[in-house]
Amino acid sequence: MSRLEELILFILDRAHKMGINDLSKFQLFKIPYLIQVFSIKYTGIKFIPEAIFLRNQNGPISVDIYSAVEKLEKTGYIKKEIKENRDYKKSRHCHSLAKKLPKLGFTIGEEIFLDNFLLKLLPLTQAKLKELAYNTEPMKNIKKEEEKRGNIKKGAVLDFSAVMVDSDVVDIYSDNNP
Amino acid sequence: MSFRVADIPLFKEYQFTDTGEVARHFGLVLLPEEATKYQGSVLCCVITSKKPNRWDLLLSKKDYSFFIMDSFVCFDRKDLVSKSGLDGGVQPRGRLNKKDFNLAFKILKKSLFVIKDIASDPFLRGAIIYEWKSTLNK
Repeated sequence: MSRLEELILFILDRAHKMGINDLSKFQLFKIPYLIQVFSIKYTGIKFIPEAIFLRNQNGPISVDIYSAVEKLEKTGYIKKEIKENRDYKKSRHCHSLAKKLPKLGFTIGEEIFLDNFLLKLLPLTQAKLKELAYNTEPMKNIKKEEEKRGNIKKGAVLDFSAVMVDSDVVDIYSDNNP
Repeated sequence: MSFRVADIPLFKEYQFTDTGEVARHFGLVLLPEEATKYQGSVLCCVITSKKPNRWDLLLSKKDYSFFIMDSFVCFDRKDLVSKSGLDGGVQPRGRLNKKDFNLAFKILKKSLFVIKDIASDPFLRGAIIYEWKSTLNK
């Protein structure tokens, strides 16, 4: 199982433990995207190095997440239901864990890191998740380019090199490497 | 009661992660309890009356009336301590004041990169820095 697949299962497991029955595809795109940004910001490392995120109409999406979810559905780890969403007047693909979480390869530190941020991200509405995603450097940069061009750069790869590592992490690295 | 960063609970059985030894100690909470609850524990630095060689912060008895003597936060080790070891009564017993919080964060930050323990994992370290900064900016 890939690290991305494990992350998706972990997110669904924690959602379930928090009493959230299922997650939409929107949430399954935005939450790993935000985890990736927080990871670069506070560790200097990508949490899911293999994942590429693209600019779409409503912010970041990922073909890699699509494929991972599909694979997890095929292997029976995830079940997908289509439900009416009254707030958005559209049907919504709802993803939940179909069986017990397998043993994942995350370290204790990685699990605590994920729990620390999922605790804040999972209860958020889709609108709030979108707002957070739009406030990240890769999205802000692409928005700037789009303002110049006058249209959305749909399908463009989001550039994580724009994410600044937190100043305290940088300072400490400097102390270690005089 | 869910512990927050900089809370000071009292454990009747504070178990050290590396040695497994158990003793009665205060602890300084390094991460919100929700972040570590699936590990069944709270991430702490031990607080003792004995000054370690370095990486310590003095907490004066006059500022923290629940201590029976001046005490030291030992940033040279971090432990995932089970909540089952908590002492009875009101918890936490107290919380770092603003002045000590700022001093503690400076020592903690450095210790996270220098001391090799569970918190030197880059992800655990990142979560701690994020939470302490967030608390500082509140």
